[in-house]
Formats: sequence, C-alpha cells, structure tokens
Amino acid sequence: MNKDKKGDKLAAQVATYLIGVAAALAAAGVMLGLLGKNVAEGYSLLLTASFGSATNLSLFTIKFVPLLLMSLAFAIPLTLKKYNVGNEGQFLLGAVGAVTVAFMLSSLPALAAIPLLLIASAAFGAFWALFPALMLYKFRVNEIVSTILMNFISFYLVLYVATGPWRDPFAGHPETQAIPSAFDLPVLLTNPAINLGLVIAVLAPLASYYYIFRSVQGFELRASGANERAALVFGVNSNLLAPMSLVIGGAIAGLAGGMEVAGLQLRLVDGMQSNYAALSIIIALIAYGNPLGVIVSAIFITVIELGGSAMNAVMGVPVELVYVIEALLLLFILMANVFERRRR
Amino acid sequence: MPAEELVRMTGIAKRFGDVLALDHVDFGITGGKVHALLGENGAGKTTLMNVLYGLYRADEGRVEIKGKEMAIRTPRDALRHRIAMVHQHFRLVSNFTSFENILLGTGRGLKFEARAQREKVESIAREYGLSVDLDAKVKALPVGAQQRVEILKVLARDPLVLILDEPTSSLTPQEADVLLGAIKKLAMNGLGVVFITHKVREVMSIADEITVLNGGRVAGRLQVSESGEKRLVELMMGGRGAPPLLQAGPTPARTSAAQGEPALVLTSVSVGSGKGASAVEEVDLAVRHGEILGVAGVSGNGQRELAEAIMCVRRAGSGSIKLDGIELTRLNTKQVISMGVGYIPEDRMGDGILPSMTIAENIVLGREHSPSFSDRFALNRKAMGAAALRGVEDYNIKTTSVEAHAGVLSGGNVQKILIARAFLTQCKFLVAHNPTRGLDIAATDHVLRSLVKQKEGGAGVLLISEDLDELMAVSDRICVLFKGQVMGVVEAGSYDKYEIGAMMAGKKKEASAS
Amino acid sequence: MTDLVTDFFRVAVAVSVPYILGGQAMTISGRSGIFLVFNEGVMLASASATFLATFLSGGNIIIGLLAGAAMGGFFGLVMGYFSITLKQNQFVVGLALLVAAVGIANFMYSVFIGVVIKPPQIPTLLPVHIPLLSDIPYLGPVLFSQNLMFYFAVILSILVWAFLYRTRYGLNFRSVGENPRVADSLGINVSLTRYAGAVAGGIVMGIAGGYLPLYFTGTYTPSLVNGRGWIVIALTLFGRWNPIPVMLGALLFAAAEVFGIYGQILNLPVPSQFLLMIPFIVTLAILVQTYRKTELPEGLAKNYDRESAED
Repeated sequence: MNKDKKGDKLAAQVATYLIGVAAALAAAGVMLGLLGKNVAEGYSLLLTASFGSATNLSLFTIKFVPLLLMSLAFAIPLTLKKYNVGNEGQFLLGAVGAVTVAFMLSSLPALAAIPLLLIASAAFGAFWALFPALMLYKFRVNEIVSTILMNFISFYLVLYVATGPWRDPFAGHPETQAIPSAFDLPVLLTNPAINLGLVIAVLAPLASYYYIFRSVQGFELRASGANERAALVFGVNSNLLAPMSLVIGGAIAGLAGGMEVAGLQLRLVDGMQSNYAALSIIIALIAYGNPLGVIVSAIFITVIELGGSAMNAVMGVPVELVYVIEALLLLFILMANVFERRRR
Repeated sequence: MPAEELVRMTGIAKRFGDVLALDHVDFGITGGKVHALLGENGAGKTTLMNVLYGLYRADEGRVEIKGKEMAIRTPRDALRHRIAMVHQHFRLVSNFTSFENILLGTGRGLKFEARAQREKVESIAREYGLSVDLDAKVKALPVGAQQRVEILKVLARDPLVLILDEPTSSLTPQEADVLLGAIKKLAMNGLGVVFITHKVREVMSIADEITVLNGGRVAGRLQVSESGEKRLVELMMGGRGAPPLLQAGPTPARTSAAQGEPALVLTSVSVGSGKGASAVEEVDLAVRHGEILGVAGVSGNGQRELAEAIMCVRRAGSGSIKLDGIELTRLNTKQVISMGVGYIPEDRMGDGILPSMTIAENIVLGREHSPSFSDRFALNRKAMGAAALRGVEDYNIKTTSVEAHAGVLSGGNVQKILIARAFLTQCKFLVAHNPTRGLDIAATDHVLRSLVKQKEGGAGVLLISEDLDELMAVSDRICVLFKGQVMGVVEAGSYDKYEIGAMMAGKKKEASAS
Repeated sequence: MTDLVTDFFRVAVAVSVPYILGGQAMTISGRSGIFLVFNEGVMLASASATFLATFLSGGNIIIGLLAGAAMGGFFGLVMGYFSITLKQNQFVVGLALLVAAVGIANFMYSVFIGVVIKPPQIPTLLPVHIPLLSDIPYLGPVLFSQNLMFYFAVILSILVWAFLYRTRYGLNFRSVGENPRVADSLGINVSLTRYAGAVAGGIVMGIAGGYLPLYFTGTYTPSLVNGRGWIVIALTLFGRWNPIPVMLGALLFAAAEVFGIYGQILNLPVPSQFLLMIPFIVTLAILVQTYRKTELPEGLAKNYDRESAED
C-alpha cells in the first residue's frame, strides 16, 4: 500500500510537469499564430531540431553540456535555499582561467595540459564565488545581490583580458587568439562531434545526486535548506555550509566555462556566456534542484532552444520567443503544482 | 441588569483534512458573565473561538449575534460585531510602538488623528490597572507589558465580547491575579468574556459558567457553583485512565538525588542577547546525575539563552560550563551532542523540525555523523530507518511510514519527534525547554515520564518550563530566573507557588536558615 | 575645474532618477511584504515598452512612460498572483519573471522594429530650468536644471514617505509587511494590501525603466539596464526600506556610476574596464558596510497563509 502511494505521488508529479509543458507549448502556438506563422510547422521544428541528423545531435551537445553544468552550479546551493545567480560570472572566470593557463604554460604536453586547464577553470570559478561566500559568512550579505554584482564585474574583466596582450587583432570582436592545440578537449567521436565534455557533463549530475542525497554532508545541506535554524541548533554548521555550497557551485560553473573554451570556442570571447545563466536557473528551478531531474529538464530546454533557432532560421520567428516560453514553462509548472496539491 | 445573550453558536463543525476538530459544538455568550472554555490542548477550544473571530471558517453550523444569524468570514466582520480576541501568542508588530499597535486597523483618516484615541487608551489603562509605556517599541517590552498592550488594543475597540486565549500562561502567579481581577471588572461592566484555559484552578476562581470540551465535543456544561476540580478534570479527560503525574502533586523531598555526582556545572556564566545587554548574568548552577533541576521564570528572562549556551548554539560571553569536568564553551554544538547531551528546544517549529525531510531524517538529525548512522562519507540509511522506527513506536508517532515528510504532522506529533530525537540514546545530560507545550494530557504525561526515566537512568536533566505545576511535579529542585539572574533555588518538598511567583517577578529568595 | 565638478554632480543627479524610482518601488512593495527581485528584467521590458510606445506615437513621451508603467504594473500583478494567491517562493517567481521580462523586452523590439541598420530614435528628456532657483551658483545647475522626471522622483519619494509614516493607511500598510498575521487578526486585508504593494511597486519600477531610453540613449538596446535593477536592491537595503534614506542613497550610487564615466574622460591611468566596474565594486563595499545594520520589514518575502500553523 505504501508503494502504491509513492507511485501515485510520482504519477501526480509527472502529470503536473506534462500539464506545465502542454500549457507552455500552447502559449507558444498562440504566439506563433498571432505572428501569422504556420503553427504546425513551428511545432515540428521546435521538437525535431535537436535530433534527426548527426549535425543536429552535435548542436544539441554543444548547448546541452554547458547548460547542464551551469544548472548544477545553481542547483547545489539551492539545496540549502541559496540562489547562486552568479554562475554566469563564475563561468566567465573559468574561461579566463582556461586561457590564462593555456597562454602562460603554452608548451605543456596534452596529457598535463588538459587536466591543468580543467583544474584551473574550476579554481577560478570557485575563486569568483569566494567573495560572495565570504560576504555571506562574515556579514550575512544576501547572496543573490552579491553574486549578481560579481557577474557585472566579470563582464568587464573578460573585456579587459580579451582586449589585452592575448587579443586577436584580426577579429572584429573582443576575443583572444586560439589557445595552443594541446589544451583542446580530446574528441571522442567526430560525427556527431562529441568530446570529453559530454562525459564530464553526464557524470557530474550523478555525482551531485550522490553527494546531496547519500552523503553525510549532503544530509546537512538538505537539513539547512529545510530549516536553517533547526539544523544549526542541532549541530549543523549552516553558517559555513552555505558559503561552501556557493564555492562548489562556482567550481562547477568555472569548469563549464573552461570546457566551453577548450571544447568549443578555443578562445576567450566577449559574450561567450550567451544566455546560459538565465536558462540554467530555469532548468534547476523546474527540477526543484534535484540533479537527476536537472538532466531531464536540461534536455528539454536544450531541445526548445535549438527549436527556437531553427524557427528563426526557417520561419523568421524572433529567437526571443522561446526565451519567453521557457520562463512561462517554469511558471506554469509552479501553477500546476499548486493546483495539484489543492485538488488533494 | 438583565443578562443578554450576545452570541449563540449552534452545531459548529470544522474539519482539518481528515480530522474533525469540532464536532457540532453549541456555545453561548452572555453579557456580564465570564464563560470558561476548558479543555486539554487539542480539544478544540481555540478552534471554536477562531471560528467566532472569523479566522477559521466553519464547515457547518450557524452563528447568531443578538438573535440574528450572521456570517463572520474575517476578523473584520467579527470586529464590526464588536467581538475581540486576545490570542495566546501575542498579535503585536514588534517594530511598532505600543500606541501604533493599539491604533492599528482602527481608523481610516489621512492623518494621525490620534489625540482622542490616546486619551481613551490612557483612561482604559487607568481604569483596569493596565499601565504600559505607549511610546516604547513593543520588542523592547517585557512579556507582561506586551500582554497589557494586547488587552488595551482590543479594549480600545469597545468590544461587547472579549475572548482571551490562555491569557495567564506566561505570567507570574501575582501578575495572573491582577489580570483575573481586571477580567472580573470587565464582566461587571457588562462584557461577555470567554476565558480559554486548560487550568482547572483558574476556572474555579474566575468563571461563572463552564463549558468543557473534549476531542472537539462538548463534554459538559456547568455552573461554577455545581462543579468541583475533580469533576472538571474527569470531563476534560473524558473519564480516561489514572491521574497523571501532573495531578499527583509536587515531588516529595528526596535525598537520593542530592547524592549524585555533579553532571553540569555552570560557574558565573554570562550570555549576550545579541542586542548589547546580556541575557544571562553571572549564573552559577550545578545539576547532578540522577536529578531534574527545574528552571522557572517568565518567558524571555534568559531561559533560551541559557539553554543555547549549554548547547553551544550561542557562545557564553564569560564563565565556565562543564559537563563531567569537560569544558563545553570551547566545543561546538556537534561535539556537545556527541558527548551525549540531548536537547529539546523551545520553539519546535522554528528550532526543531525539518518540515520537508522525512521522519527518519528528522529523528537522526544531530547524530548523522555518529558511526551508527554513517561511515566517514556516506549515510547508512538502513540504520537510520531502523532507529527511526524504534522512535516512532516508542513515542507513538502517528504516521504511515518513517519515510513520510515531517511537515504533514500535527504539533503534538512534531513534539514527539523532537523527543525521539533527544532520546535516541540514553543521555548523559538533557536540556528540555518547554517540552510539553501544546501536548494533551496523555502526551504530556508520557513526556514527563520519559524525563523521569532519563533521570533514573543516570542523566542530569535541566527542565526549563513556564508551567509551574509541571515543574513542581517532577523537579528535584527548582531555580528561578529573572532578567538572566538566579533569584534562588527551592528544594522539593518545600515548593510554594507564591514564593516562586515572587521570585519570578524579581524578588530574591530570602537567605533562610538553610 | 569647478565647472567639471558642477557638471559631475549635475549628471549624477540626472543619472540618479532610475535609482530613486527603483528604490521607491522596492520600498513600497517591500513595506507590504513583497520583495521585488525581477527589476533587472522588468526595467528592460518597461524600457522597451516606453521606447516603442513613444516611437509609435510619433514621439509622445507621456504615452511612452504610461506604457512603461503599465508593463511594470502587469509584472507586479503577476508577481502578486504567484506569491500572494499561489503562495510560491518570491525569489523563484521573481527570477522566472525576470527571465520572462527580458524575453518580452527583446521580443517586442524584434516584432515592431526588427533588425535595422540604423536604430530609430525617440526624443529624449530636456532639462527644465526652474526660474530663480536655477540661478543659484553650483546648486542651481545641479538641482534645479534637471528634467521633469527628477522632480517627479523627488516628489514621489516624499509622498511615499508621508503615506507610510504619516497616515493611518500607511500604518496599516506597513503592518502587513511586518507581521501579516497581526494585520489579518485586526481586520486589515492582507492580500489586497500586498497586491496593491506589488502592483504599485511594479508601476514605479516600470517608470524607472522607461526613463532609461528617454534619458540615456533615445533608443532601445538589450544592455540598457546594465545592472541597475540589482543595484536598486542593494540601494534599498542600504536605505533600510525607508523612502528618504533610499532617495539620498540613490544619489550616492549614481555618483559611483558617473565616476566611472568621468574617469575615462579624465584619462585616469586605469584601464577603462576597471573604471566601469566601479559602481559594482562600490555597491559590494556598501553592502558589506551596511548589511548587518539593515532592518528589514519582518514579514518581507514571507508569504502568509491564514490557516497555517502558528508556532
């Protein structure tokens, strides 16, 4: 009987997600209709752009890997209700770390170069999260505001590095020259193009899940998230765990940035963070911070993102449409959850 | 003056989920009389009055005011019908001044047209002896003064019906007497007063009519003249079982406890309150193994800070706290717990429960590091589940599974979880702060017996409580705190409620021959 | 040199307008218990709406600002619905609405303007010289030769203060932000008050966003807000949710922003990117300085459920 109840709960949960998705897709259809576009064509592009060919699959991977890692960078501090909206800046610092190592130690062989690059990018990302973490620890400054402010500082820092001694003078846009090829992430498959990044991105949520739900420290993170004060009263050092979770998040975001440099851009580019941060927040919140759920919602958001680009290319629909749809998706899921709970 | 029926409630039913909290209750309020609403915690007294005050909506039943049926959907409706309520937990905005609190929600003017109002409040305060500093921020006032603000606030609205929910629970016996006097005077002036309580003695001293609730039903309706304490207790309990510890009277003098080894020794401990002034000042205390030391005092006199300093949740500013000779002030909470110190915090929702986690996780909280529940890195979920199941059975926690979320449990069951957590293993020492608040008589009895069992197992117990009856029933000694200082210590066998009450109000114990 | 100093302060005062308005928006809604996190997005959506409405109405700034205010009010209403009626976490809802607002801002621009080589221009706000007062040396050009929106912002701040601290309505309103349970038990309509706070806050935030194209650029760009929505939060913490300190604090934050720009003009021996970081670094420093002392309304960002357990 207990099992049944659990099954019912899961079914209800899945149902609320499906309702949320349906509502968001319906909204997309209405907007397409209002723009005078072919709604059916839009839907088919939206859902098929990620698959169907090896090229599409490669495009999917390119977007999926950073989104997944960025979502985890948000999800881990979310376990104790800390909002790491600074994952954008931490991502950029990771990228800066990657090019710094690549240009300063340019003669390293690949075997040493790649691990070093990954470690450096994680360390730079963690370093960037360390400031808000310390402000939280010492002064209890709200992390939403402090991490966001660090983002803006990082934008100018990237601009400074991209226009500094390593700049590519022939590019029309602030960016550095390409990093030495020893630092490129090893390619595992060429068609579809898959490199080491995908492996790391798939292992990361599994490790995160284990950490949060099976380890002692994860227990304490969850306890702090459930009731910070009660956790503190019973010996959990929430005051230290919360800043620490931000630093862990920073390391993961930094890793994402480093992999973006070493696996895709091969250089530091102004604006390379794209809209990853906003999307990662939506992905993580849809999954309520559960790392396994993050895999599913990251896949879904990536599919919609690529669908949006395809609709833009084929049908001339503004790309911002999907951005609105993604936010609506989260809001609809929140709504569906409330109504599901009230029904019971 | 002829008694006029102001309110008649008929067939009131209220459900919370599957629980029938009120089972078709009838209740009437007459002007000029004090109506006691007597019952255990959870009997439905407050729920019934919350329905009348528009905070809850009844599922069935009707409310008549002066003979006319009225729908009371919000407190605004109730206030319009001149029904006012003083809640057990004060409803005051702590960042506002007393006067701002009294003014709140009364006027719609664009300016503070407050002079007339102020004079009115001052005259009410004089008439009923409820003096209070109108311009002080409420958070700076002691509990007794906050209650006076609360009462002035409702009286300023000229109520016909005044509901008071457990108004004496955080007062000294002397303050309570003053309040009961004021209530009598209010009734003499024609108000219909409803007095919610679970204390039989208070009912006998103040009420005109008594309605006893049990399990959401009316168990009896009597005039004070035709009732006796014993009869009322029977009605409250629904004729169940033997008299519990509380009714057994104060602990007799004991010599065995005085011979135990000292467990916890506090030497001139001072604790800051976080707001400059220290909340605990120069306290010296010793609790022996096999002894329950009761700590009496009006809430807010340093009890919480004292408990948290022992648990190292808060740092003692100076002094030494030793358990079995080991200095605690240099440890952290985790280390204190792993030394075998159990803790039942005062605020179970705020400081105790993890609502979105499972019952098993809640019970293990604080010992997740111990080798019985984890290796260095990973949790041992099987062991956690087994220990939790034992707790659920031992303390009769009503749930379908230890994997259920704690957030869905009732207040009483939440308290049982905290007790199961504290007693996961035999304690060396136990700090229990208001461990029975909000529990019904049977559960209270169970908790108090558990404390005694821990003590008999050799633990030293520090029982902090606002309920003097409870303290006198189980403590071997009682120490009284006032403004963070120890006013004196009384030995079992010589407890005197009024002597302790005087100490709670700040009178140092006379240095007697002992 | 004095010219440069006067000029610096004159610009800083003009730049302070979105900070003042944004801070008042935060204060109004915050005093009712609603924490606005979505500013960075909503200011952009309102900037887009103001720009488009002004442009499409042939340069009518009033219509533009009304459109911006309506956009902000709409987001305030949705914020209210999710936090008050559905009782969802205010930070989660705020972040979702932030993303939605950024999308809507750019989407509207794409639909109405699309990709063009030369972005269309709208008229910008002109300074109004107040007779006599503007002739006062130093003070005149700084305070009394500003555009009308500055005077609006100052008057609004004073009105918000008077409402909150000098009327009975204001007392009731603040009690909802402090302790909704108390307010409810005294017959004050908590939901209505919070909806009013959320919508009013949204409207004022919308006007703050509308000011951006009307003062800075005369056109719409996706980077128009550039962190101001977040700085406004820091500013309100700094000003302790009190309209007058918030207004004065806005000048401080504006000065930091203008200093970065002036540093470039003065050819300071620092890379321009570092000068542009100044407002953000100053904000962080101020946060550290003031955070401990900050007194929040006690019920801020906590949703209220009448029938939920009390203790």
